[in-house]
Amino acid sequence: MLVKSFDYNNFIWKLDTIYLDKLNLIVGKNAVGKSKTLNALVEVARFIKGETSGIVTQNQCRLTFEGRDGKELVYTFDGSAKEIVRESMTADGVEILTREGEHAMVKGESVNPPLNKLVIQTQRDTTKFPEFEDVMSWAEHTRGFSFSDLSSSKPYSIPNMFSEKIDFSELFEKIDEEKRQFIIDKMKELGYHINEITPLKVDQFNIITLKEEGVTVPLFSSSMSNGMLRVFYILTYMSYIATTESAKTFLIDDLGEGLDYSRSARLSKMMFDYCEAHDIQLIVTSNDKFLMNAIDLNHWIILQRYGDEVKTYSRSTYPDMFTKFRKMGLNNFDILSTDFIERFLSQVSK
Amino acid sequence: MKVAIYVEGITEAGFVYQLIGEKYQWDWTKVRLECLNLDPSDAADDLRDIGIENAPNYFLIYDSCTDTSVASDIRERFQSHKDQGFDKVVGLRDVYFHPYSKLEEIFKSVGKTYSKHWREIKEIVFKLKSEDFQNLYNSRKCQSFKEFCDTIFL
Repeated sequence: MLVKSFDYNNFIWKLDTIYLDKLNLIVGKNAVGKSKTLNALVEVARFIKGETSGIVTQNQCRLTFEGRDGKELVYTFDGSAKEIVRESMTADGVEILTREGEHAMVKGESVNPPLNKLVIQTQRDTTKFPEFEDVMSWAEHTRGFSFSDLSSSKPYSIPNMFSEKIDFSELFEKIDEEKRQFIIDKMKELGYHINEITPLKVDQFNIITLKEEGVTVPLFSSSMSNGMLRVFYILTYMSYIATTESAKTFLIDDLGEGLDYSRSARLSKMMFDYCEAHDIQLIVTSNDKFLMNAIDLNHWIILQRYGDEVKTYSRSTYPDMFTKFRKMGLNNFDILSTDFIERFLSQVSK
Repeated sequence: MKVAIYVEGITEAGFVYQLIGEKYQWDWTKVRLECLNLDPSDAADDLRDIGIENAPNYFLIYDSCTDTSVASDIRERFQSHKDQGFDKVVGLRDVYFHPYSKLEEIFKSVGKTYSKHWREIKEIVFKLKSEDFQNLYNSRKCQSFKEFCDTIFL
């Protein structure tokens, strides 16, 4: 299930509707709200799952999904971990849930959910309310990492945006031979000459060793460079989530951080191609010039901050702007680094 | 014809803008002229994009903002310009000693400062008309100007 759009307002920070596709590259200047946007999505997913640590103040959120059979699901909630003020859902425009405080109507029936729980958390029934299950499943299967948090100083557990405990060795064990070979091949393409990856059990510890071409001593994940480890983790995780059966949204903050320009461009291209071919919605942020030049403008979402409000520009919302820019024959990065957007908007408004 | 012209600063951007505009007598059906990267913003206001979208002649003026990056800016974008059907990609930069530092010294000696402001630049640049450019082109006094015109217009 794809997230098609996301609106978020926590009364400190307001995100204009962000329209998403299957593959998305969120870009913008420093401090514009790229990481905040991903974190807001993470917090919303955690909140839907019932993890209340995230949203403690009042938040308004609106999510649009492309649900089963192409149905458009629109889900909104307004509230905090203490109190849900409003909640609603429509499927192809038909109202299936409305809620004000403790009173809700679900498919024509009156229900009284606890004030601090979402209706979709309390009404779990795959037959009666498949739409609720779709949204819950999306929240449960959304995964996110900050690329720069991945570090060889923490080689065995993967730090992630959901604060989950992910044992890297256990995760690697779940990947079949074909996918392991895929990881080796892709690492080779990126200039890391690995011939073999072996999971080992030493006493009670699970560890992974990599065999480098022409090097006799095996390489432990703790002794890898941060760049190499980040590539290894991301390729492994991406291969792993492709094997799971549910809806998958994969978020990566600051993709390419710490890699040299050529590797960051090639890794990002690899990830976009892989997620395109598999059932994975990819939402990535970056401010790496070379990565941006490697990813087609069709996947771009540009953020610009005006005070506490973040506006978004993408091909779906500003097709003329993107067409005009493409005809100029410049590098993708120029759309951000020049005054193109300001000039376009000022001339359109005049 | 589709031409990208990379310049090293706002003075050159203004000069090229005026040259192209005068060449086509500011006829919006004949030329489409677009600029990028203009700073300060009042320069960007003066050098507005002009011309209809499908005008037969298209010029993009890209201000690299510094003379050292004109060549590298072109190198980085040459292929994508080519892919978008550009016929020519041209770089314009100073090749002679710039009198800026001398002028600054002269102004300083009488307690004044010299700085290039857009409002002063445009006073000069926007006074240049078609016949001024034509005279300079025919005068043989400035071979590089003639070469530049031949490159972008022929």
